[in-house]
Amino acid sequence: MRVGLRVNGTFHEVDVEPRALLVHVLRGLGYRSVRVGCDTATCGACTVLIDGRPAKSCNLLAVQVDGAEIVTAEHADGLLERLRKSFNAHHAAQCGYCTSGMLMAAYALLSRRERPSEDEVREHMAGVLCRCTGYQNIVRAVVEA
Amino acid sequence: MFPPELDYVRARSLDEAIGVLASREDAVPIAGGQSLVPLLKLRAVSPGLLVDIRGLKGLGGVDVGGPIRIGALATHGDIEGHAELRARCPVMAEAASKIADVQVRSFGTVGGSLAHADPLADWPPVLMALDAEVHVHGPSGSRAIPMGDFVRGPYTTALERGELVTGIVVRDCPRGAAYLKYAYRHGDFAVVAVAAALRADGGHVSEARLAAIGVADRPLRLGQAEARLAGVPVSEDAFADAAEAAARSVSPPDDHRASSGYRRALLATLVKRALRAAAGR
Amino acid sequence: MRLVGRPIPRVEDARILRGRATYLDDIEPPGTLHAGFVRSPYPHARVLRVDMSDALSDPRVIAGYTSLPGPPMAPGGKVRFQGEAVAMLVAVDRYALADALERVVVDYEPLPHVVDPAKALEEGAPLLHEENGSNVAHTARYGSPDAAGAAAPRVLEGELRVQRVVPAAMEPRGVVAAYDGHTLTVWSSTQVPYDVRKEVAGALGLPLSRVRAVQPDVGGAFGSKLIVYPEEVWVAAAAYLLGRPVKWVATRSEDFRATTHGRDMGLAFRVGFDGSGRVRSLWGRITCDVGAYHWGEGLSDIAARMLTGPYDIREAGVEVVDVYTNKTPLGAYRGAGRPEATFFVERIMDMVADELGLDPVEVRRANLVRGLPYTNPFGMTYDTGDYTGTLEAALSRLGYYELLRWADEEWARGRLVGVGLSIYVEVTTFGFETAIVRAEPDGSFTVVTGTTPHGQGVATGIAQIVADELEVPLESVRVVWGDTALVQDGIGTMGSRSITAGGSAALLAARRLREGLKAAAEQLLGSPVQYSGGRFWGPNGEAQIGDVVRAIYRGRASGPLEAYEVYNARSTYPFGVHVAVVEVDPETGHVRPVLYRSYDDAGEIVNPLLAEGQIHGGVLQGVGQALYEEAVYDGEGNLITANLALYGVPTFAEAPRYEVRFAERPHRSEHPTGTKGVGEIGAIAATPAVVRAVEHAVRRVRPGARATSTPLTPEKVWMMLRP
Ligand SMILES: Cc1cc2nc3c(=O)[nH]c(=O)nc-3n(C[C@H](O)[C@H](O)[C@H](O)COP(=O)(O)OP(=O)(O)OC[C@H]3O[C@@H](n4cnc5c(N)ncnc54)[C@H](O)[C@@H]3O)c2cc1C
Ligand code: FES
Ligand code: FES
Repeated sequence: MRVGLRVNGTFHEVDVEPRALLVHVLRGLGYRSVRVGCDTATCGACTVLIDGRPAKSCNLLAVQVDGAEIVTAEHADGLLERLRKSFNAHHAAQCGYCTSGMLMAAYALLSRRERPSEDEVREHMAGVLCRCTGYQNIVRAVVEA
Repeated sequence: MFPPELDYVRARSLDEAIGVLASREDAVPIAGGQSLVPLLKLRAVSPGLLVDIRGLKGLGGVDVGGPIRIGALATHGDIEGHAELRARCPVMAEAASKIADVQVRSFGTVGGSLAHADPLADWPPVLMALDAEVHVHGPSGSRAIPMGDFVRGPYTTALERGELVTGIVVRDCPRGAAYLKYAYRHGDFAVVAVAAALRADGGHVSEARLAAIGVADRPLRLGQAEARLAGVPVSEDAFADAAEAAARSVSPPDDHRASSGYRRALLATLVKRALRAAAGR
Repeated sequence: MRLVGRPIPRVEDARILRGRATYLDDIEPPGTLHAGFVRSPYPHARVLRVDMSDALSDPRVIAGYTSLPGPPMAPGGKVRFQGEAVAMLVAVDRYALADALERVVVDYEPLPHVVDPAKALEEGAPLLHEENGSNVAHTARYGSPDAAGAAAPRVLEGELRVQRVVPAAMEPRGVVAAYDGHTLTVWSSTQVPYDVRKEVAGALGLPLSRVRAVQPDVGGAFGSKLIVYPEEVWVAAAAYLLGRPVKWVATRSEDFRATTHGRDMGLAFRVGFDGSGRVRSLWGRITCDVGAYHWGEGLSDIAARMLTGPYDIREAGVEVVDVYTNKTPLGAYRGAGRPEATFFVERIMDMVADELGLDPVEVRRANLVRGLPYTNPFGMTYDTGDYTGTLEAALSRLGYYELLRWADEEWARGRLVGVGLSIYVEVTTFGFETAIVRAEPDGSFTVVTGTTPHGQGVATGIAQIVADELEVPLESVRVVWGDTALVQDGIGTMGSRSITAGGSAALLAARRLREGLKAAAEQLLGSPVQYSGGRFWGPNGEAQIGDVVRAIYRGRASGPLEAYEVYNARSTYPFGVHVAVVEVDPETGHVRPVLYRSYDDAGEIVNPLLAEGQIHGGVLQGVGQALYEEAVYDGEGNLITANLALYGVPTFAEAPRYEVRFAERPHRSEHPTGTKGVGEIGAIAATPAVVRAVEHAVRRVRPGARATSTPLTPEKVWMMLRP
């Protein structure tokens, strides 16, 4: 099936099997920041924004989101740059495998809420797992971004 | 992690969706996909055709004008974020916010959750305590099913072949309602959860509805506990009494997540707390 | 200004934060085929027949194997754990592969199985390795054999258990291999590219020169990627035989069964002590469930040899028994033996204190080692430190007694909180490590480290060390690693050794290069010179370091352009005190970790920002061990917590707040860096601290309550709270 996706502002039209997961299609298009960490839609490493809302791209078929506007961690805009600086300053990434998902979840939160509290950050981002950082530095990075 | 081969069609109208679903044995509707896609990835199901209903007009939305009407395609996130609904029926926003995580709530729908009928899904106990109706539409027309009759067993509902959930209607959402979910980790399915709806008149309980998950293979209305509350003064003693009655009325499953006895104890604690929270609103 | 000691943000982050890091699955040479495994659903079975004909009839399937160069599949015709590979398919893409894997038919003859190590030791238990004659994989004895019967005024006996956990690095394992007719390149999500290269070359009979192993960015490992797994060799072999690139990436559920698990040790103990809490003797028997194969050798031996912890217990003896069971093989997991030892000895200290009604700190103080170096009864020599002094400093910095008072006040208000303290000494660093410091023609430097970092920030730390030694800015030093084309041998990142062994190697290499360049500068300038801040000067003039390097590159001066250093690093011993605070719901047994404070003497701290990060992450793994995580096998030998939905990796919501401190006047190790390592401290100290915190809370309600095994699930805590 033909599917159209606008990813980070670039329009792509691709032929996909109906069964293809969005995460695999995005990775196939070269958006390698979108990572796979589980097979139960638990880890959030594959989190992207779909029409402004955070979603797990491993838990959707690409055909379901035909025509969608998608943002991945390769994107560059003011908010993401701020988050990147803050993640670096607060040492919020270790192995980095969760980091794209973390950035996207944080981006979704900060897009609709200017100054979230620590508790709001923890609540909002709990759908992305990190095995390395113990989370505190990520919370700080988002709160102080 | 790799779904089996399947066909896919995007329904353009409710009738078209129902037509396809009724005519093809192997056709399955897909809404948010948040329960179905995991099953596909496990290859636990292998539908020949997915009928995508997510784009259907008129099946989404939240309307709080008269009775509360929530379209089947409303996502948990839509419900959580709906300011007027939160004002009118806070327990629904509360319940929505306890489902999974924000990503799943962006796509998972209330209709999909009801149709999927996971024994630990959060909507059924809440909607049972609110005495909601489930509206469905199928080859032989529309009907409304009381929430208490909708879930028939684990992953089994009153839906007939070709029928779709179109929405839910809550005619009566008492302010005094609460949903308490006990899970081991954030975002996990409940171990035990309790929904309570409570009305009082002159300090006495005039109406109490309680429902729970995690204490049977399906959501349960806690009739015996409700009976203990009828007409009694609103008090900690009454709540404790109801909690004890609730615990006595169930024989919970025993599995690696929790023993039967522990589930029973959790039920008592959560009934008490849910009633307390409901009474405090 | 010295860079070492400063909280410099990581240089590694730029790529990661732009989504440009390259993990294993991001590597896909043109024409890559995809490999996958048929895995046993049974914990123990004879493989009678594998029929791949139906799968192979699919034109999208390229090859199927039931044996390949390298370790045998289903050795001896048997599978010994659920998830063990019996066949490998290669197909054009992963969806086709998944379709084909379902079409392989395997006839199994299920055999009786055993998942309980005690039962595995019984007469008549099903044998995993018949030729071994029993399920005993290894035994050893350490210390004094008389400790078991030693006389003491008071004696306490008991059993303790640390459960089996799943390392669950966020990136599952995977491997890609490509053969170009001459060189076989193997990319692997591994901690040990040197070993991968050797194993692959050995299996295929190739000289090392024709095999290149690359460690791309690795999404966490925690010890679970420090052996060479059979899949790595098989995939490389298939790529070699097929002449096409082949890739395998484990799914998460597959990874849960096919990657080593950690911990899984029990201790039976007998401790003798006097009325003041001074421990006179300690005897223990450690039973370690190693699973189906002995891939994690030495884990229980380390646990045994660290069993007396930071305490001076003269009369001590330990027996070790490693037992085969039909489970995923056991391997290293952050701490590898020291978390178990620390949990055991800290539980024992708490129990002794509770028996005597003494302050647990007082009992510990009475037993702490005084005067270092100190050789423990099992031959481990703790190098430097001042344990009693550090304890006193820690108690005040951590506010331990204030927290206890606060807990009392909270209880008076009806809130049940607990405070737990643990002390540890642990052993880090071993073996040789390699470093090459190379001058670039412009006077910047490339450091190749033999360590294999995967999140720790070692590249930043080593850059700080080398930049200090060469007196150049941090920006002039780039650190690379993980490719046998860059450095041919090394050990890797594990055992908290990278900054100490790898950093010292880099420091010495830099020093040697600097000396060599100085000699070249003297030639150029025709006089003795001095060096500082990137500049050589003498009576006849001066030269920038870049000028000297360029002169050597162009043959105008002779001198070294690089220094290759192999550093042999003896073990060193960090010490510290940690305090955990939890809140317990008395009705549900739910435990919420609230606060976690640590005070560590880990020698020099090269970069406090990164060191703190290591503590945070390690602590949360220790918290997970204490409260949430367990690899649960049912009676049928099924791993039932076999994915991230069912296995309790803590989320944002479960994590406590951390307050990390390092000793103001640390005791240096003997190594040039003076460091001791911080990678595993958190995972070692946190579990006993959290367990004591829970016990402390519960004992307010049930004064005799005792926690002897992890995880303390809510149900277990609820049971402890019941009358
Ligand atoms: C990681 C994770 C955690 C979760 N945690 C929770 C939790 O804590 N609590 C909880 O309650 N749920 C949880 N869920 C499930 C989630 O709430 C799902 O969104 C919901 O169950 C299904 O909604 P959906 O629209 O995605 O349905 P889909 O996945 O699209 O469909 C589910 C099933 O319902 C059918 N269906 C869908 N819509 C209709 C309709 N209108 N009429 C008839 N049949 C229909 C489909 O054919 C399918 O069989 C979790 C899911 C995930 C992935
Ligand atoms: S890959 Fe784990 S949630 Fe998507
Ligand atoms: S940084 Fe490694 S998983 Fe988050």
